[in-house]
Amino acid sequence: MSGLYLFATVAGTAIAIDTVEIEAVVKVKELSYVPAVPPHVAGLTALRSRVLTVLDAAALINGAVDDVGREYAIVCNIAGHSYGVLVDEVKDIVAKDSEPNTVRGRPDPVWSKYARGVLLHDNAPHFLISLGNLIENSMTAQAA
Amino acid sequence: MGRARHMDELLAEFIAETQETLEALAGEVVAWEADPSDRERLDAVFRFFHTVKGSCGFLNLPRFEKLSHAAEDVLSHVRAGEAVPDSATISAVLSVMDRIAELCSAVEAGAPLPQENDDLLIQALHHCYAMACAASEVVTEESAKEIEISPVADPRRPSATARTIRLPLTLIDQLMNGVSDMVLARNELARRLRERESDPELEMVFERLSGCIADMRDSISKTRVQRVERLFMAVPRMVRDLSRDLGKIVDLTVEGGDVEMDREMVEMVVDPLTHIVRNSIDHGIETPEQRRAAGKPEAGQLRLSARQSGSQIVIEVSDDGRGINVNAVVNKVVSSGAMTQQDVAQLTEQERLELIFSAGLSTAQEVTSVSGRGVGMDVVRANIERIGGAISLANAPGRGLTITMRVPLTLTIIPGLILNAGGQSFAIPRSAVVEILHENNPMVEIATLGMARVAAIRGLRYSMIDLEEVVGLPVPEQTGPRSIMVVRSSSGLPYALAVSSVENHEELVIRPAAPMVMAAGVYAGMTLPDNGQPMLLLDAGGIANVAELPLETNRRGDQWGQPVADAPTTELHSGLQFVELTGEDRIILLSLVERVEDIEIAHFGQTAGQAHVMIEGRLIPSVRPVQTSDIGNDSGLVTCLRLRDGQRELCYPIRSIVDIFEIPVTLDMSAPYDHVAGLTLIEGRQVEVVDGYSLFADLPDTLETGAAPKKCIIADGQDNWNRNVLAPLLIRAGYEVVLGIEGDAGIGDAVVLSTNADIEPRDATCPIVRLRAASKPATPSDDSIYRYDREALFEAIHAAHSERKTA
Repeated sequence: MSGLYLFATVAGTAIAIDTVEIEAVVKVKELSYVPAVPPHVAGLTALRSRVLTVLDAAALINGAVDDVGREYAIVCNIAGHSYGVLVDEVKDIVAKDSEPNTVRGRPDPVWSKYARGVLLHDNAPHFLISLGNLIENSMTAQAA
Repeated sequence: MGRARHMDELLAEFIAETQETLEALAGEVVAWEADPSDRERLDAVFRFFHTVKGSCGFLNLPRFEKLSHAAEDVLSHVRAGEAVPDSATISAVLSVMDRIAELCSAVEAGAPLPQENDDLLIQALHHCYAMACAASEVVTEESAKEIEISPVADPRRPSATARTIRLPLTLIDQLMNGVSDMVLARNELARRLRERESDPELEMVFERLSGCIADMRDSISKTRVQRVERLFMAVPRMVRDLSRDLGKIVDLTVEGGDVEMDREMVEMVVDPLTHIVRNSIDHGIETPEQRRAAGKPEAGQLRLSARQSGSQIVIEVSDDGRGINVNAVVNKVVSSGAMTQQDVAQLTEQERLELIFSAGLSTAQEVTSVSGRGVGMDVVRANIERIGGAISLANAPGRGLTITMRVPLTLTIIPGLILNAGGQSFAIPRSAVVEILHENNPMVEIATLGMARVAAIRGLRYSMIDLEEVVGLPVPEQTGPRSIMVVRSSSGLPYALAVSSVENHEELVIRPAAPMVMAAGVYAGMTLPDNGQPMLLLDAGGIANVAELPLETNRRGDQWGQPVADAPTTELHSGLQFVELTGEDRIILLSLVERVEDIEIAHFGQTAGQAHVMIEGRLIPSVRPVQTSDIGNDSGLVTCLRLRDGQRELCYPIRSIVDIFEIPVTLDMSAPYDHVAGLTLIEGRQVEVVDGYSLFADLPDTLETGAAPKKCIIADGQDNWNRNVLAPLLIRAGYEVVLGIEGDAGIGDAVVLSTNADIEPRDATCPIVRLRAASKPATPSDDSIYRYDREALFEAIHAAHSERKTA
């Protein structure tokens, strides 16, 4: 599995996402708050004539909203809906030829359901996660 | 390669065009069958085969060519007036069309062509045609003459349809998005312009640009619109085929095909509509024999209509068949274990009727090939509600059923209101809002009981809730008054929704919201209004559900039983309009009517001023006595409405039934007298509304069957007159009768009737009604009652009972 990966930080953890899933990375300026939804739904924002549902990945993983101001969102289209997934920081987009390694050690249980492998970038390990999987989980997280 | 590609495109176009024409023609052929002399329709069908034959020779589609050639051949003879086609010939033509349709779908899907033998079809066609020729030899000569006068199809006849091209839907969606982007850019520009010094010239140019963009948006919106006709096109053919298979005669009327609605919406309604029409023919309309027996014309009426009502399209399917047998539905639900008898007993008549929408329910006696495929009305309702529509039933057992579907005009662009609550902006479909008032409006009175708030607006009371409370926002302090919107949900009753303010209205482009947002249950989608700030579209019905507002309709019997001011809604109720025996037009709440029945006039009688009727061996009070001269025909049958208020039954003899209408709970004029509650307007005419409450309230107490029957003890149980005359009379009047007295203990709260002073209870406090055989009392102090004085007898029994109760 070689390809182009986006390296970023979510909730202080280094992650990598296959760019196949990614449409763009945007700076979120204005967010319309959405009441009566789980806390990880940060709000709505307009991207030209589209409306993105903005999800706070850190809140989804930690189960609580923190006060870190995040402004970069990864835009993706999952199951016909457009989302913006807020991340702490976007570091780089790099092509990787190597296969991702399997997850070693004992990651925090909140990560174990998202991490599909480990990619090395800048000599540091990054969890490989899938946005589709993350967003799917955000729906079950709400039911709980 | 270029050539091959070109051929592919041509082929795709040919298939698409053929399919479209086939769809349009299905109705034409049926109409042609109904009137074989209809030249225009014949020409249309002929042209179809002619076109197919011409194109497919070029595209090398031999099977298409052979089939269309055969059909064209036969039709050209028909056009030349050589024969009048009979129904067998038309069926054969139809099956050729069907085969072409099958081939089309196979080619379109790239699947191998179906292997049926076309020659058999063609032979059948020729055979049928030969038969028709033989049968119409006499006619031929006459029609041949006519043909000489009227020229054969004029080739220069201008085509009735405008020129069209085909576009992929995605392209139109892209255009739509592009226009939305343009609107946003325009708004941005407007903001920038306002920040500058005013420049009239620049502003004029900007206005022109704005106008162009608005026009463009309108035009693009129109590309999504389609005539409802397209939805109805397949129906005539379906009705024809079904009624034939089932041996029924159905007259189909289609109205309002020129109403326009969103293309996507048309797609969404096709299945529910097909299902309803199928049900109607299969279960609703009876066979000609059954209809004759029921005194109806052999041909069943099926009416299909569409009309626009505000931002909704109302599609109605009504038949004059047997209607829904509510009891059968209830039994089915109970036997399926979905509900218990007790649950069902709690339901109003309308709710019982709506059990037809329960999952997996089919009232058909057996599964037929037509319906009963496990796809029930539950799926129909779910489909309609999914697109923001509603479905309702008006059932007249024995007389027919009307199913009304209300669907929004479009899925994507709706007129909406933008409102503010808890510092957030929301949108709501304008169609859901009945009215908007400020809370300090003198017409609004807000009362709080417990935590529940009720807004009384012009005498109508609504459950009231703050939007902030439902979505969990703080209610902010504000200087002006808050706004109260009376909101209609698609299924429930209207309620009052309080918000900070209602800001403006605009046409909103609605998009589906993400699943985790929809899961909140209060949103219907999201939108990007002209200010560029994305917001959520509220779902009025969902808010009511989440807030758990009590929005079910009142229990039956309450509806007219309480002063109008207590009615919590402006909800419409179905009313049955009928003609009284005395000739007046009146209307009665349909939920009171259990069924409609024809009863022999001989079964009507009158005793003690109370008219009654014998039904199934029981005496049921009748609203009025019936004379033969009243019923207006010599059938000896009286049409009766069987009414029930939950406990008591009542028979309402009438002359005839007119129709079912939606009537408001609030009458246009409250003018109570006799059994009339007031007036309501139906199609501009005043109709008196029957007061169901007073009908039942006026029933004599003795006929009360719901409560435990009052007990009468006939002291001398051995006496012949007591056994054979008195006891039956009391039983008929609703009393429980015990013959013979056995000590004081068994009396309880019963009234003792005595004809023999020797057999009487010893307890002197026990009320006794004494009867005597002589018409005159024996002594002045004699308080006994002459035994044939019925009124005095019942009065005494009644008085004795009251005495017991108060004692």
